[in-house]
Formats: sequence, C-alpha cells, structure tokens
Amino acid sequence: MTIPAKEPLTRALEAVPQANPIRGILLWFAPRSQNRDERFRESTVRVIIALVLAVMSLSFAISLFIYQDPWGLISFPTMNLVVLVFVVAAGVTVTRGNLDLAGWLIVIGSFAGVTMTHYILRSAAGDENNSAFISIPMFMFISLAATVLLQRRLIMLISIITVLAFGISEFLLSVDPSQANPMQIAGVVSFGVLLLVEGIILQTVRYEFDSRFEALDDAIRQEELAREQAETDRKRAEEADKAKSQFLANMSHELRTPLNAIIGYSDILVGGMAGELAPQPTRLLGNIQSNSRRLLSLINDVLDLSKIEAGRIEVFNAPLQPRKLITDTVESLRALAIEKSIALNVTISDDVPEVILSDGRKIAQILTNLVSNAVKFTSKGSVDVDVTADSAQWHIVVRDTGSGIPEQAMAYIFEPFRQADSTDARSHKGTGLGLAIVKALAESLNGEIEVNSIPNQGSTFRVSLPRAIPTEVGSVAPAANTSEAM
Amino acid sequence: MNRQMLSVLLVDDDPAMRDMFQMVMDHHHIDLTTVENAEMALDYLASNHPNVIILDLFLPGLDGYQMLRQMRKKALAPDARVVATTAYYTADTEQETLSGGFDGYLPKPIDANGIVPYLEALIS
Repeated sequence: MTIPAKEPLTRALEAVPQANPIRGILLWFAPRSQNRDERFRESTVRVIIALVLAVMSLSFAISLFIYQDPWGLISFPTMNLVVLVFVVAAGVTVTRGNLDLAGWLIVIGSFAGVTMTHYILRSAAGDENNSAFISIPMFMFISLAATVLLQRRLIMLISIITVLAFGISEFLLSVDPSQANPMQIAGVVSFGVLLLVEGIILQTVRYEFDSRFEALDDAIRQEELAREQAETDRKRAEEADKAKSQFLANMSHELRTPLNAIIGYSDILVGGMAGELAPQPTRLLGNIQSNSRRLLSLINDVLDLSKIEAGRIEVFNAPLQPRKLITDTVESLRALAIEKSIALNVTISDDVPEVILSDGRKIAQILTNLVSNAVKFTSKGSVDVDVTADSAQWHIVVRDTGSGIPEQAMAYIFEPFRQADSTDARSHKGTGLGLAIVKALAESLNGEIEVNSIPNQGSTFRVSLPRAIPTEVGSVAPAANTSEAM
Repeated sequence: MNRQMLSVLLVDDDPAMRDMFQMVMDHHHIDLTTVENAEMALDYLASNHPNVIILDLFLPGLDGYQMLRQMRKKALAPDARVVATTAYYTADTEQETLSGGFDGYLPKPIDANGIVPYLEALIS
C-alpha cells in the first residue's frame, strides 16, 4: 500500500547523499511496518525513544554535575538511569521489530521515572500539596503518550495503572492518614479521579480518531482498487485494439496479394501486352478492373481507419505549399467531375500563407475524400473548393449542390460505416468510411471539421487547420519529422 | 535514357508478381531478371549490375530492409535505384521506405501500364 502524502522523513532522506553517515541514523527512524496505523505508531515510538534518550542523558548530566544530587535508591540520578535503561531497551526492541513491547517499555520506564520524581518532590517539599501539582501533569502526560505508543484497547488500562502508581507514590510517603488534613486527602482522591477521567476521554478520542482513520484508509483502498481495475481494463482494451489492428493489417496484406494478380493481369490484358483483344472481352475486363479497384480502396480505408482508431496515426510535418497541394489534389480528381458533367472550381484566398508546416499527405487525403464524396452525391451543379485563412487557422471549404444530408443523419455522419441514407449506400458505392477518416485525419493535425447541409440544396464541409508557419520559410523538409498524434 | 538500357532485377516471392513483371517487361523489351528471395538476389548482384532493383519488403529469410542493408554494406550495385514494393502497407509506408533508404515506392497492386514510365522517370 502506498502512503499518499510524502512523509517528512522521506523528504529528509532525499536531501542527504547516499554515502553520508547521517543517512544511516535517519533511516533508523523510517517505520518498517506496512500497515498504515502501525507505521504511524512505529514512527512515534522511534521518535520518542530518541527524544527521551536525549533529554534523560542531559538531565542525568545536570543532576550529577551541576546540582550534584546525592545518589540513593530513589534519587534524581537513579531515576534518570532507570528511564534510560528502559528507553534503550525499547530502542533495541523496536529495532528487532517488536513494536508493542517497545511501547510498553517506554510507558513503564516513564511510570518509574514519574513515580520516583513524585516521591522525591513530595518528600523533599515542606508544602506537600503544592508539589503534587508538579507531578500530576507528568502522570497525565503518560496517559496521553500511551494513546500514540500503545494499542487503543490498552489506554484505559494505562490510566488505571497511572492512578495506582500515583496512589502508591502517595502511600510510600508514609504520611499518617490520621494526621493528614482532610483537604490533603480530598486532593489526592480528586487527582485520582482526574486521572481516570482523563483516561476515559483519551480512550474515546483515540477510538474516534481510529475509526476516522480506518474510514479514510478504506476509502483510499477502495480508490486504489478502482484505479487498479481501470488500469487493467485499459490495458486489456489496448491489447484487444492492437490485436484488431494487427489482424486488419495482416488481412489487408493477404487480400492485396491476390488482388495484385487480378488487377495486374487485367491491366496486362487490357493494355494489349498479351495480344490484341476483341471489344467485348475488353469491356468485361474493364468491369473486372473497376470492381477490383473498388475492393482495393475498401481494403485501404478499413486499414487506415483501424490504424487511426488504434491511435497509431503518425504525423509527418514538413513545410509545404498549400496552394500547390490543393490545386494538384483537386486536379487529380477532375476526371470524376467531368464524368458526371459537374463543375469543379478552386478558389484560394490571398490570405493563405505561401508555406505552411503540416502533413501534406494527410491534407491531400482529407481533400480527396471530401471532393470525391461531394462529386459522388452531386448530380448537377458544381463542387467548389474554397481555401481561406485567418490569423490562427486556415480553412478548406468543400461546397456541393448535391442531395444534402438529412437532419437526423448529421449526428452520425462522421461515424464509420454510416452513410446519410443507408438505402443510398449501394447506389453510391461508398465504403462509409471516408468521413470518419477525414475527421480522424483532421484531428491528428490538431484541426477540426464541421458540416452544414440543406437537404436537396447541398452540403458544406469546412476543415480548419492550425496556421503553423515554419520558422525557416522554404527550408528543406526534414526526412521524417515524426510526432505521435492523437 | 533509352528503354533498352534499362536492366531490372525483381525480388519477390509471389510467383504471380514475377510472371506479370516478366510479361510487361517482355512487351517493352526490357531486360528483367526475377528471383524469389534476398539470398538469391545478393548472389545475382555479386556478378550483375542492374540499374533498377525492385524489392519486396516482406520476403522469406532476409526481408527487404535487411537486404538493402546487406547490399549497401557489401557495396553491391551501388549505382542501382532500389524500389520498395509491398502489399503490406498503410498510408505511412511510403514515407517510411523513402526515409529508410529506398529510392522509390511501388505499392501493390502495381499498375501494369504505369510501371515502365515510372522506371524510366526513376533512372533519368
């Protein structure tokens, strides 16, 4: 399980070089436990051990060398030594991995220390009541420390032990109860009650704290599970996609090889390379040729689209001349328009830059698909290609006077294998992939496409592409300036 | 360059492709040799110098790219124009072959009427 926020220790470790000996000391503070709750408790235990060790060593030195306290069974130097022994033992224990025992050792060591201090102060002080005020906070502090050092179910037990220790230290003073004034007895009793109440509060707080912690922990775990699941699903989908693309790539290869023979041999026959043919067989061969070419373009479209859908479309950006590209591409399609006796016009605005950085093949494919589509759906009138530019984009607009796109078809016109009118599909001999490819190609060039149509009046497709001017105008196109798109 | 000065080597494992090329080249009286794999092609090139080599990219054994590398390494037919042909392509294959060291690209299905003008343009 991962810890969401970076612990301060992790940051400290990152700052210290590998070889530095401080690193070893810092590493000792890092919790070994994998459980979230225990990690917190473990690092607290480790830090408290270090703190108590430092404070008690200092206190030991001060009591011996500055105050020159006398040695005795119950004296400040002895008290310091007892606490030190317990804390060192706790350090060894936690290093060996026994967290619970280490917590207990610290708590018991503190009890011993506090009880002894209480006793020393009480017996030394003339005013017995006041000195109790010094040791009471120390007893209370142990209960508080226990809430982070020990398991939560032990907190109440610690409180009871605290009350007992307090009582015992009072008992050890051997004050004769019959001579004690009532105020003094009342004070001792109320301190005991106070410690018990503190225990109850601390335990309640700890339970509340833990249950919130668990809820948080649970939420984090749930989130992690969901994320893992999503990751697995994504990977699986990706693999399936890859397999599909690979399958389609293999398929198209297998299909094109026999198609190569069919088209090649009919070309040879029609071209008279195997002897002159009579008119009838020539006409039949022409049908074979045109149908096999249709099959070929279908195969090519399917493969292109599968590659596009798998997000593996590559963009080869190079400086290109949009005027020449548009004019050449449209000219290559003129035969289609002539065949259907419709006009095909190109207008390029003066705003269009001379040189643009883009992928010429993709732009040509977009234009080819749009224009051949427009010609296909137009029986009389014209197809106009207008190219314009503004400061951010340049636009290729293909307008036809054809059958238009019905209202309800506008929603799915760019989806694969959909044509505006499915009954039209046969008569128009399309694959239904052209517009899906155009859209994907435009997007791969960081462009967009929109369509407007009035049924029986015509449709307008508008492709907008970023106006990217090469930094060095007229520089030589890089051979393969690949960048992953989509 | 005169058509009769063209000498072509076709490396392709598809018998129909070799047969069609033979018919087209015979019709135009162009010298053509066909082999079915890269190893045979390399042997042939050790003692012959065609000025155009048409190389299928997917061949049994060494593939088209590997064969092109071998040719360059052994300095076989250094002046020959090498054209990639394949039925296994996408819209990006032309770009890939041209940047991969080929001089030309002929996707399958080939255009039987267009091959000879294409080859002439390639070597002129």
